[in-house]
Amino acid sequence: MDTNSDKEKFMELMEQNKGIIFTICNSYCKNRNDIDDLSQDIVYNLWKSFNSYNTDLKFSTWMYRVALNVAISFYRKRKRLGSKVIYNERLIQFETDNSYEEAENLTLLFNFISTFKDMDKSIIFLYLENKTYKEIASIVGISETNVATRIGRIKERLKSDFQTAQNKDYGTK
Amino acid sequence: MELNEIKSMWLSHENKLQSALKLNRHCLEFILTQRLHSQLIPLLWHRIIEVALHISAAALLLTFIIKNLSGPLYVTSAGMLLVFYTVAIVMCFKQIKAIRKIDYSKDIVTIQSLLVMLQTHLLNHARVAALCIPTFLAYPMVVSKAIRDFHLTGLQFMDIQNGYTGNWWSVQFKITIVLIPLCIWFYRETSYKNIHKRWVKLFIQKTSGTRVRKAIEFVNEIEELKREA
Repeated sequence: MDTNSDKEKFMELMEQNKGIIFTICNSYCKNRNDIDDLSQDIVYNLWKSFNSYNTDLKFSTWMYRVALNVAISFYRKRKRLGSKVIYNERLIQFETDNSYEEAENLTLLFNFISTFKDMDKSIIFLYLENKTYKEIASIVGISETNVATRIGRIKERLKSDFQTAQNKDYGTK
Repeated sequence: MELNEIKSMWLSHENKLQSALKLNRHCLEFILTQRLHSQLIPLLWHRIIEVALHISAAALLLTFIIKNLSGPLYVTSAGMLLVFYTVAIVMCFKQIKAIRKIDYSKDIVTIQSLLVMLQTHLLNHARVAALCIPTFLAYPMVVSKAIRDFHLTGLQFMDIQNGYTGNWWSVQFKITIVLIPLCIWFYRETSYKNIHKRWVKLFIQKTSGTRVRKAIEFVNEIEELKREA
């Protein structure tokens, strides 16, 4: 598989979709070291599965499947699935390091999502990434009805979480 | 905050992020050149060794049965053990098949269920071992006969048929009768479906570790998700 043209193609696809890896890592990990480890683990597993990529599937759908599977396993096992420490440099870097602190609501959202169960995390993440119910169902492996029901529940939960946070904030001012 | 507002906030953040992120090409190239072994490989080897050991034991038992066809007590004892070894072999083969089937590009429910199945192997071993307890007499029966057959005089202290009389056997038999329903109950109770029970949770944690408990909780999460529709 690892011919130069495959490698180039893979690297180009990674460049186009680096945001997916970055966001998944930030949704599933709490500290910087875990984020670095997980991002390398995801790329390693993507590369390993690259020859089995079925072009009938959208590349991003395939990528979400592999990345979320690795992230869920990583999150559960709290260690790498496929490798020892690969490289001691950050795979994905910020050009400006303050993009997260910019938005208070976004930080709150990441905090709320971090308390969700594994499957809920994947579903809400895909929903926020603008995936259709059909795509979410195909990535997660459940029916569209399941997806709709679960999103309905998550929606209620997020609404109440934000409400509670606002009330607390209001109470302290 | 409504979900639509959250979604717009997320997407606008994503757009900003795309331009702010930089892929470390050196790191990426380094990862692509690695020949790292999956952690599933040692797991595969463990199962292959397990199968080899179980098959050897089963072959010995089968030889024992063939040689003692005239003694129904020995055939029954060895037969019971053979059943459990066969179950263990089937379990290992299922695991090997599962390990070879793992492909992260399949949907999350399929892959995570497979991974959980691999992680709960240890628990199933503990459960099957508990189910074997009522057949504890079968081991010394078979061992005693083998000691006699092969004239292993040095091991004669292990020959229970020499030193024990009718009363001892009747007590052992009664214990076995009591243990059968108890062990079946235990086997059923220690299923992952009962992880909500405190003692089952504790048993799983003690026999298979926290990681397996977490894996089981994840399977329950998947099942809950499927039931919801």
